[in-house]
Amino acid sequence: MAGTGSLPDFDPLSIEIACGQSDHVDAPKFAQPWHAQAFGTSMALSRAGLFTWAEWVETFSTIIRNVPPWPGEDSNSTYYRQWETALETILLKKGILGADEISQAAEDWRRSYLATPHGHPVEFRRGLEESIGSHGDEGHDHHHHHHHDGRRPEPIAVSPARLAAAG
Amino acid sequence: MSHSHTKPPVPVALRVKAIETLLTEKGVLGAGVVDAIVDVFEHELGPKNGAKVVAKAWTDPEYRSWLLKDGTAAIESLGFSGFQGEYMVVVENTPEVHNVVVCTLCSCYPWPVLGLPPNWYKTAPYRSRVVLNPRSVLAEFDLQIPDDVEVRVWDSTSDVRYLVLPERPAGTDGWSEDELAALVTRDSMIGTGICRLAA
Repeated sequence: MAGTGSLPDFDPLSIEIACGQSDHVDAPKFAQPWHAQAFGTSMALSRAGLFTWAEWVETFSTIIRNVPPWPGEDSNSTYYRQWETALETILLKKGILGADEISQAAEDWRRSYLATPHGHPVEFRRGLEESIGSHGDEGHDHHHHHHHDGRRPEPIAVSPARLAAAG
Repeated sequence: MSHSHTKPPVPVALRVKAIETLLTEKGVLGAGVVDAIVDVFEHELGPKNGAKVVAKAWTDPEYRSWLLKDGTAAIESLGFSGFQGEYMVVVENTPEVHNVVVCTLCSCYPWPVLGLPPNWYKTAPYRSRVVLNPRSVLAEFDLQIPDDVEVRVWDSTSDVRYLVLPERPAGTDGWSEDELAALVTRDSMIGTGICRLAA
């Protein structure tokens, strides 16, 4: 029965409950430190008033539509990769950071790791070795989507009762 | 040589570090602001908050009416607010209606009461299929909705976050709020589960 639809196989039981009972009761934790950092950065910027959360959702949902998963990539990794792309997109759009300076700082971070003996804390340093330019600019259309407009909330879909209450 | 350096994280992680470094350097974000937010999400927000809301609604009819009428204020009165919980709508399960929540665009979710969403909530298959065929998706969660029950699917957005008020299990008369709260699962407040007594 399962898996005959045109959409990809979806078995939440195997995805989720296999991870342990507590997982379907409790909230998940961030799987990677950078997931937490990306999430927290968007939240912090919005709370600091640099963009509204509606602007974030518009940007992020556009990226989700336009940046496909990589073959073999798990859904959580795709999600946070899309999150990071959305974060760069909104930073560029708002003129807060430029793509080149992000690429340069990322390269400086990479070199900082490589220059740090294993087991020591990595500190950010600039000017290690020579600089290599890199890419990373992403251009995206921005679609509009529905916003709350003050009407009473309505379900997006209803599957009506198919039988009168069983007697 | 291989022991003389620290292996850098993956490129996307380096870009996130770069962004945070630059934002801090430029004074856009204060030092430690991001870590503080992450800490709240990892340690303070989660379904235990939502369970308190549900248990109170089950035991206090006045609170229940308030919750269904003005979810934001009723939830805030228990101390759960902020983080895009500014406009919360609570939808009530009854013997006639089962509610389930999705964010079709991305992953909008009532963080103050549920914390971070589970992975499946963020996936394209859930986001599309629960709208097209909610009953079959719910069946995959081992939740068979009887044919005489209507299923309503609610689309959370940046502006409106939905929380399901599940049905109180039979056989819990006289239980305390704490005892009831222990029955309330995360999935029951998304609508992909219901509250049951332990077998």
